[in-house]
Amino acid sequence: MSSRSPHKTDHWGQPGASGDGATGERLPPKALLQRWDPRCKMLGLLGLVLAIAMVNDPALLPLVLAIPLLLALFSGLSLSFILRRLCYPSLLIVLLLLWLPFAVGDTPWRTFGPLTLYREGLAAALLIGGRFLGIVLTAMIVFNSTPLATNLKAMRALGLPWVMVDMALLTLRYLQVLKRDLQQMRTAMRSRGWRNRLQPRNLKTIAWLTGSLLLRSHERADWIYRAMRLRGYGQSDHRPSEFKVGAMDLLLLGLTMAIALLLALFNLELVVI
Amino acid sequence: MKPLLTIKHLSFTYPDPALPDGAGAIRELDLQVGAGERVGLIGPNGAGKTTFFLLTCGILRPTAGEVLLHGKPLPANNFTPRIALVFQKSDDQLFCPSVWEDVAFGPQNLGLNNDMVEQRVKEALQAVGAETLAPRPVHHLSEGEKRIVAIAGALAMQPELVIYDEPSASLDIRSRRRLITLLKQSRQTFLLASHDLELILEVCDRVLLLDGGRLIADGPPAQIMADEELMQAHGQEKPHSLVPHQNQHHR
Amino acid sequence: MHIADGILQLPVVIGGFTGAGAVTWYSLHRIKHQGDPRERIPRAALLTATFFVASLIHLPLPPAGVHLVLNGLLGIMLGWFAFPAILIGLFLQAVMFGHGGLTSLGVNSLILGLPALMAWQLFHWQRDVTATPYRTGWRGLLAGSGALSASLVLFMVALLLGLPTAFNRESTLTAMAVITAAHLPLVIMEGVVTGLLAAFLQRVKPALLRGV
Repeated sequence: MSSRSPHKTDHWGQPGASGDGATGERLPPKALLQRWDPRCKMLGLLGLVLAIAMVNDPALLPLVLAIPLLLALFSGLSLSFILRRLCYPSLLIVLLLLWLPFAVGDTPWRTFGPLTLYREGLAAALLIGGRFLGIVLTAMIVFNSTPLATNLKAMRALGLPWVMVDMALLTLRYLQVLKRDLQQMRTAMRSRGWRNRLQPRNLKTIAWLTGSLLLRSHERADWIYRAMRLRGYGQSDHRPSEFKVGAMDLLLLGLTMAIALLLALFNLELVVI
Repeated sequence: MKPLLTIKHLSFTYPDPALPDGAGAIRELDLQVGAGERVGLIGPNGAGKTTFFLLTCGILRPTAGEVLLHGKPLPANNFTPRIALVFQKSDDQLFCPSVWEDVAFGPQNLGLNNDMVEQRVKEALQAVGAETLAPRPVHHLSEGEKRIVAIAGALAMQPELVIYDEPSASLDIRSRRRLITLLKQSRQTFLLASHDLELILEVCDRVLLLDGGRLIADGPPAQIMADEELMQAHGQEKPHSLVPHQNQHHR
Repeated sequence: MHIADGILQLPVVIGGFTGAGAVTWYSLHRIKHQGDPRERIPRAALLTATFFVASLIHLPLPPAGVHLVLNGLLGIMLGWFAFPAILIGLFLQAVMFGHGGLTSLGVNSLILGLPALMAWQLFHWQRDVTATPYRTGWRGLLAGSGALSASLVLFMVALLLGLPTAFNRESTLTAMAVITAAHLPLVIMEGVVTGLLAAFLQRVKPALLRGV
């Protein structure tokens, strides 16, 4: 990078993103994770979650959970915010945690009436639960420390096809608009006596509602495209990089990758604790 | 006799901290609307007009105070077919493939049989003069036609009170005139919010000026809207037709 | 029908990403083959957002209620854009709501995306574009139900591959049967809604069923 245009943000010099990307939460500006170059951050995240997905030994779970804990300390996110975001339990996870200990394994551990608790099943359930928490928390903390649109642009800078990124940015932009539209239409329907009940006619109502949204989106898209064209969309394939990497960014990336690698090595028992 | 609509010490604030301070809030509103009254509602953006409407028809739950219909409180956080709402954007309201089906949507939800639904749809379309639109696909209507159909959809509920939120917004001259004629002929009680002051002057017999969630003025439109000082203090303009004309350009 | 993070073993995770990457690459290749994609991107994006929002609509089916998936209709309307659209939708869902998963993104997008492409082909196979809305509706019903059934099968295959081994065969079969039975009403509703939607679009704006 030889020339730097003046509008580029220096992630270390300037107070970082006051991110409202994924959540609308305003962040205090100085946390380490928020100033980290988004490209490095995405790579680091990839390394961490893959390493966690590899874990096959329940003894490593404390280490797995230490990762999001460490990240949380440097994220500038409040504990209550993190916990609030976690309240979306996966039904599948809950079912597996309840089912595996009784269904998998040969070594009985405890017996409750007709039910036998197996060692192997319990270990599998623990692993799934631990990895789930580790990955979900890590990803959530990392993604909430930068606006989502910035993260998407970072992914484009890392080589994700521009068709995908442009599509994702537009989808993200209009999700809120469409959610408002849907809300408004439902209010209008309710004011005409509609109740969301289980009956065949309601399926038709929902189909028509969705169909109307699709029609309007289709029409709106053509206007958006015209507006984009008028402002030069597609005139040039050259996009100046919005990011720049400093020594600190690389150091953090190296550190993160080292942690991921260590976890992988522990798991392959190449390094013994 | 009890008034049709009674608003008692009504207050409401949005819990969303992202909103600018107090935007759209309602503060200690007291008001009565009698049957047959046509009430206009004016005020700057963020004065609380839409909030007031959503509270009146029970979509929002007030933080304090109450809304009474014939002296009885509305069922909390519930909708009543006795109050109908016509939205600012007709597209928000119309979602069925054809006009007939859209107007029939409300009556069907009231559990009426097919004959009665048909009767209601016919009457409603007749009332707005849109019988010929019945088989047309909603998505191909003009903005003015959409507004008319949305009004028919509200009237088909046979409400006691109709609330219009910016009914003349984005209408062309002819559609606006058609709307005004329609409202003038209507014997319905209605509340109508608009920035189109001339429209209010023409169709309403009472006007409320709302600002910062408070009721600033209440009275005959020609009187309140002629008060230049009052109007300007609350971000309004004296309607052109009320300004004494030196150059008699209206002929 | 999402697989959350933490369930799948690493080889399945990698396999999922490889597969999803390959299908995405091929889809983008076909998209570019059809000419400059720029004009179609806003349409594809807005429809993706709409499907995303529509999948938030709650249907009151006891006990807990269900949400529509609509991957069949998405395939029908988006064609080669369907797979990228599903990948994007799942990604946004994972990072915005923590719903679904990030490491399982590849597998999940295959579970929903391959049947979407299948529904697209099925729907347009020897289709008369001037057919009545009624007949189009039946096509939609088959495509919608078919897509969701295929997704269900893929979902179970992924679970079988991804879960730790040493299962008790019998209890696994029971679990599969339970999952299938639990999803049966959704398969039917999905088909009906897709059919009604296809009929609606054929009636109001048939061009929308011919791709972006």
